[in-house]
Amino acid sequence: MGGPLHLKSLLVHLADEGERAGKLYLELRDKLLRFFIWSRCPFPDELADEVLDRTARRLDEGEEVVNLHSFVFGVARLVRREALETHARRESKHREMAAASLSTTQGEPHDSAALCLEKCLGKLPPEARALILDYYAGEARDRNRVRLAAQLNISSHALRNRALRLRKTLTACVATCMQKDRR
Amino acid sequence: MSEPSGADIRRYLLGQLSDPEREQLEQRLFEDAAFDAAVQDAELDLLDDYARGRLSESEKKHVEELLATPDQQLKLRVAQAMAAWPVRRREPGSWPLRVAASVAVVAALSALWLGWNHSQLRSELQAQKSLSPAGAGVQASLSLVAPATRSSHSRPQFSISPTAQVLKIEAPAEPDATEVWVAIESSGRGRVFQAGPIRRTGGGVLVVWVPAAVVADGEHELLLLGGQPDAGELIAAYPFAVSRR
Repeated sequence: MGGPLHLKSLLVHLADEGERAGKLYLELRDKLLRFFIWSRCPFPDELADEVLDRTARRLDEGEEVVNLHSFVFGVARLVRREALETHARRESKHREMAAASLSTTQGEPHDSAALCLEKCLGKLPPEARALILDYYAGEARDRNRVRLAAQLNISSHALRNRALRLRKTLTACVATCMQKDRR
Repeated sequence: MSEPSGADIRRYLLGQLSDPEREQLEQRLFEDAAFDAAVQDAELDLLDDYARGRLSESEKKHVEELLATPDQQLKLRVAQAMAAWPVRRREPGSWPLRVAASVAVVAALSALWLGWNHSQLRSELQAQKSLSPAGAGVQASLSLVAPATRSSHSRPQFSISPTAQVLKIEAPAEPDATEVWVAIESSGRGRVFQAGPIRRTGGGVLVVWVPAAVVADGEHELLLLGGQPDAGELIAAYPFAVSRR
């Protein structure tokens, strides 16, 4: 692992200003995490950190990087290939664990999540609550979203970003609420 | 693959793209934030479809492969709760008493909501006045009648103009229901509107003005409540359906 010195090179490459660099770093890590999850790799958190670490080290060694995101993508592909090749046994074990964990989740009553959802929806401003319920309504999803964007007079991209932000807020609220319920 | 479509993104998430197609899509994922957001959105749709039982066995299996981390499992829990939310909310007595304890919070939010509704309604009415003094095209009237029984399937259908901005809804009220709260609950969306207290007119009818935007095409129920909206006794329910033509 590269450690804080390497991380500093990456942060400097992401943005001049510290706070903004930190935000971009977290966004990049989230993106990598999704990449490994969608690639069905075992231990996606570890792999995301490995990519960031290797990238930071290469930058520290003076590698010329024109497009950081393309560079990171290249490193991520390499790390994915290595992970899938060399950790086949580990992956198989992990999937068994994930499957076991999933079946536990499905077997549990969903009351806690449902109650928390109710609470968290209640915390949203009414227009935000209406938007998220409408946007993610099960029926006629595409038509619904076109209508919603027209009603709000915003583009479908802006509507999607708004809905995504709300869904993340809602999910974080449900997670906190479920943790409190467990205590 | 040129510009990845929504179907391509879904196939990517289901692990069904060829290697070159996948790499092309992934490159875009890293370089285009809007595209990344589209894929995240498609993932949530996929989880929602999983939660609503809309996937084939093989698709379900592929989605389950995406659930290897606690965060991903949490996303599914939320999707499952959202899928069950409108149904559970409407089942009488299905909510434990814990929900009742949150009534105070909900009531406070309702007051905010009510304020929002009123200001919305005011702006709608203002829009109505400015668009057409006679109200034609911006107002639609719905006269509701009580169903034979609560479980009756009779549901009057109303066709309203797509340009209607305000709905005038009239419903009969019992003589003792001189002052009530009203709420509208929509299929798949839960409660979309509430207002009150509203006074019964001399003719025994309640008149409610509702922004048309909150009543989407589909099935709804107008509820008359004998007290505060989240704790009041249900006096009557008037099912109706709306379509815009």
